[in-house]
This record gives sequence, C-alpha cells and structure tokens, in this order.
Amino acid sequence: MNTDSEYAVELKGITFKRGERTIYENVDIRIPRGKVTGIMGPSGSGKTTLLRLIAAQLRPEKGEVWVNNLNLPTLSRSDLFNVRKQMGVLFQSGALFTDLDVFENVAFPLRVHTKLPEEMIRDIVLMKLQAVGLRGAIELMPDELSGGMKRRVALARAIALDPQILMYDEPFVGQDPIAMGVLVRLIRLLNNALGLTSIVVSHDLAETASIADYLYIVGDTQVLGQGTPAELKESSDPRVLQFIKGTPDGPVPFHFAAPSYSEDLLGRR
Amino acid sequence: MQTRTQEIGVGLFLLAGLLALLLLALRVSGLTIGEQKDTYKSYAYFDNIAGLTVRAKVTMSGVTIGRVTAIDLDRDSYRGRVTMQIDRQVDNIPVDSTASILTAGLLGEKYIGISVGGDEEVVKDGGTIRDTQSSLVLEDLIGKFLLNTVNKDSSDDK
Amino acid sequence: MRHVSLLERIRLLGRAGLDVLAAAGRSVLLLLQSLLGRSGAGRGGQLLVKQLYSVGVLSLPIILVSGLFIGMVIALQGYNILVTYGSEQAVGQMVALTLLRELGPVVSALLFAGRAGSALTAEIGNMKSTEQLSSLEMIGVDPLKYIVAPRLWAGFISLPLLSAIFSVVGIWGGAMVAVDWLGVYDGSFWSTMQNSVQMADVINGMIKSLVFAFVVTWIAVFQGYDCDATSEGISRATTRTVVYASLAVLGLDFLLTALMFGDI
Repeated sequence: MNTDSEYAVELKGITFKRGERTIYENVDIRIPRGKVTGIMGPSGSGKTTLLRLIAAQLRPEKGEVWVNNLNLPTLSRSDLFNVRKQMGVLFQSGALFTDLDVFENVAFPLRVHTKLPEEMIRDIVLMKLQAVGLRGAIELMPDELSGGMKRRVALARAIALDPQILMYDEPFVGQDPIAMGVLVRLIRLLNNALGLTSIVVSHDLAETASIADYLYIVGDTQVLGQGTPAELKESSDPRVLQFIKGTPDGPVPFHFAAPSYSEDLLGRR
Repeated sequence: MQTRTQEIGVGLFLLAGLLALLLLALRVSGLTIGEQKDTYKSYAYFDNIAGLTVRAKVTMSGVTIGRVTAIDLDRDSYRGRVTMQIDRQVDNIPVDSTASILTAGLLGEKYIGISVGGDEEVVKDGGTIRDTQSSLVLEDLIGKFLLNTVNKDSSDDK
Repeated sequence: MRHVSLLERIRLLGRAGLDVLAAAGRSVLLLLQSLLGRSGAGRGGQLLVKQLYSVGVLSLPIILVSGLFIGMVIALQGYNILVTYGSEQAVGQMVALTLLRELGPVVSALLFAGRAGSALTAEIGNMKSTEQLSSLEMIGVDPLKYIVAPRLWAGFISLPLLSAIFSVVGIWGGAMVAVDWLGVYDGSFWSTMQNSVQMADVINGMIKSLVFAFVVTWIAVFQGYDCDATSEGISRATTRTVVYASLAVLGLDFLLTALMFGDI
C-alpha cells in the first residue's frame, strides 16, 4: 500500500451486519483519487451505511477500510478523529448546528481545529460561502434557510478545512430542479477546483451519472456493477439494467423476502 | 450580546445557590464556627435518663449553656452516665449544683437544667455533678396517682 | 395470534435481559468517555456556561414557585396538627427538617427531571436525528466531549444549588404562613428550628441532592444519546427519561435515608 496510489479509499472484503440482517457480504470497493465516484443502489440497500463505514462511524464485522494508508477499523478513537479531519461529509439533512448562525456554522471547524486569528477565520468563511453562493446569508439561523440552502451551507462547512475526501449522502433528495442543478454543478466544480476526491451516494440516476466519473451499483449485499456511466449503460447484467431502466420487478424482487403467499394465507388456522 | 445575558444569568444563579447554602448552614441550622473549642466536659449520673437524647440542651436559669454529647451506662453503678459539653464562659458551676432532667412543656423534648448550689469549689473539665434528679416518668406518676386514689377510696369506705 | 412456545418465551426474556445489560454497559461507557480525558474542543468554559443557563437558570422559576408553595403548605398543615398539642412554635422545626431532609432534594430532583431532564433528552435526540452528532464526529470533534460532557457537568452543578434554593424559599414561605398569617411567635419559630436542625441535616440533604443530580442527568443524557433517531424514538426516550429518573430518585431516596438516618 502506498499513499499516492490511484485510490483514495479502498474497502477490502467488507462484511457488515445490522442485527441479523446482512447489509454487505465480502464487498470490495475502490474509490479513485481526484475523481467523482457515484455509489448507487435502491433505497435501503445500505448506501449510507457504506459512507459511515468509510468515515469509520460504523465498524465492519470483517474486512479492511484503507484511507491514506491507514486501516480505519484498527485505529483508536482519538486517531480516528484525526483521520476524519481530512474527510468532509455532507449529510442528507445538512446537519447544521441549530444553535449557531450560518457564519458560526461554517467557522466551527476552523475554530475547533485551528488557532487562526478572527479576521482570517472571517475571510475563509466568506470565501467558502462565496463558493456556494450564500455569502449574503451570513447572519441567518439554520431554521430560516430552505432545504437547498441548508445543504449548500453544510457544503461550505464541509470544505472549511480543505478536506481531501468529500462525501455526499443523498444530496439530491427532496430538491426542486433548480436547487438540484445548483448542487450538481457545485459538486463537479468543487471537485475540480479543490482537487478533491468526491463520493456521491444517491439513487438519482440521471444526476449522479451526469457528474460521476465512475459508478458503483450496490444492492442485495453485493456490488452489482461498476464502471464509467457509459460502460454501465452498455451492461448486459440484468440486475444493473433493472436499476438503470427502473423496472419494478426483476432480479431485484418487488417483494420483500417472505414465506410463500399461499402458505401464509391458507396454511394457518 | 446573548452570551453576555446568559453569563450574567448563570453568575446570579450560582451566587443565589451558594447564598442559599450559606443561609441553610447559618440561619437554619444555627451553625457557629468553632463551637467545639471553647467548651469543657463534665459528667452527671442519673438513675433514669429515659427520654433524654444526645444533642439535648443543657440550661441554667433557662439559658442554654451547653449540649449533651453522649449517653451511656456506667457498668459498676448501673446508672446512666450523661456527658455534657458546657461553654467555657460558664466555668463557675459549684460542685454541689443539681442537674435535673426536665421536659419542655408536657410532651416536649427532654433537656438538662442545672440549678446552682452554694459550694466554693467549681466543676472542672472532666468533673462530675453529683447531685442529680432523674427524668420524670409519666407512667410512674400515673401509677402513683392511681394507687393513691385506690388507697383513698378504701380508707373512705371505713 | 401465533402460538408462542414456552422455550420462545424464555428466549424473549433472555433477550430482554441482555438488552438491559447492554444498555447499562453503553451508559457507563458514555459516562466514562465523556467525563474522562481532555475535552477536545477547548472551549469548555463557554459551553458549560451555556448549559448552566439552559439547565439551571431556566429551571429556577419552577423551583422557586414550587418551593414557596410547598413550604407554605407544610407550615399550614403542621400548624393545624401542632396547635392541638399547644406546641405550634415547633412548626419552624417541622418545615425546616421536612424540607432539608426530604422534600427539598426529592421534589427539586423530580421537577428537575421533568423540566431539564426531558429537555436534555429531547435536545440530544434531536441532534442525533438531524445528524448533528455525526456531523460533529466528521468535523473531528467528539460529541461526547462537546455535547454530552458540558450537559452532564451543568446538571451535576445545577441540581444541588436548585435544591438549596428550593429549601430556603420553602422555609421562607413556611415562616411567612406561620409567623405572619397564623401568628406564631417569630423568635420561637426560628429558635426551635435552629435548636433541632443540625449541620448534618443540611449536609445529608446536599449529599442526596448530589446523588440525584448525578443519576437524573446521566439518565437524561444517555436516553437522548441512545434513542432511536426518529421523532417517535425521541418522544419515547423523553418519556423514559422522566419515568426512569423519577423512579431512580424515589428509590435512591429511600436507600440514602436508610443509610443516613436509619440507625438513629
């Protein structure tokens, strides 16, 4: 393993169970450095779980998570907090701190991790907010912002410390088309401008495919398919095709695993 | 701005809490600092201390001059021994003074009252007040009263 | 309904027992990880002030009003009983001892669980469901140090002070009823109180209050941190905080009373 490998994150043989349900079974995923990688799959297939595994907020049952030459599951709690400074996550809800205003939200990571003078913090915060187009919203509280604006502020906060890896958890859910367009552009722009490695977890096919350099499709505890968006469209794997075309029933069944229907209806008294 | 008002509020709260503790200690429990230092110890033996408790007050002419600190049984004389801490200022109690167990009101708490004697010699630290009057036991009193009435009735019959 | 075999029932019982043990373990872990070691974010003082405000200062009104009324009621009830024995001046002693030994620590702890404890649970649960806690972790700040620890300390500090204030206000209310309204002689009201109340009573009351503060805050913070991150989960956790904390306070009160006053 060397730090400058072409992969920023490598998951090797990951098995993860929630209770008695297996979410992942011996999964390998490699995230190329400096690119936008999309991780797609139906809802409930554990995409967010994957992000939390990469961020080491969850521990896999088996397997290794390599980030920057470090195997995260073996690290101590305090070492983990150091590694996480190099990662940013944009959570689904934005997760802004509700008792701080927009400025303080973005300034928070800087205040905690740096000893910069106040003017410099102010300059950095203004730059980050300018990047997401919300410099004017500096004095608003989070509950005065729309959902799309919250996400953009959270994005500004996530890049405040200039992380190497930026993860997006369902960034397009519940956004109107304009806000969605803004976010799509921002993700691509930030990735190129800051030289980030971006990981976008989403089930919105069109948007994700339009910005991702590489795609993984997960579901049914496995990686179903991977490749560039163009490659995947040409895929002959029925499971990949089902997801891309959006057919209701197929290899990914419409029915949740259940005992036989007739037995369930007639078999009991 | 907001933090400022919060800080002032918290400051006032802490102040009020500590003040409350101080009030409880001084005003309510009547704590005086260094109480133990200026007292001396003396003993009194009673035939019956029934009802007297540790921390009961010791008075002279109705003024509290000390407290009972221990009560135990003297193995040799089978009498109750009461240990008292008396204020150092009251160091002129004659040795022939009388210590009696009294009751505040009819059903109130028991305390020790000392009535002054006439001897020149005074009770020293660790000394003993010899003349004592035991606790008034209500049951005995009622018993005597009943007995008297019965005796009177029988003499009337004759 | 599906038939449940005896073996299945036993399994369910075992499952429940294991769940309780696991929760207890997690709560101890939470306590140790948040209180031990250096605070990560450095601005501990400022965070503590903020929490002292929302946990302590905001609980003051309910503590003041309840303390006043409880003191007044004890004085009124006590007077009615004591006056039949002609020892109404002992009402001061009664009010002070009742408040210092029992009602001060217990009632303020119950009120604290309802006012501040439930708020703590709901607040932390809300932070969990809106991913603010995860977000802190990702920024590299330990939420146990940044969110949980200041709240725990604020609770530990606030409740004993609140309970002292409760007792003082209660005694003052009692004095007001007894002396000003019912005409008990001022001097004997205070002197019987001072003669019968020992410093040990004050200290024992404070010890009780410290124990209650520890338990109530711990339960509240743990329930918030450990709840299901849904609105339903938060409301259930809030209810659990109030129920568990109240039961713990009353149970521990008996235990502590037996230890402190049992052999007198």
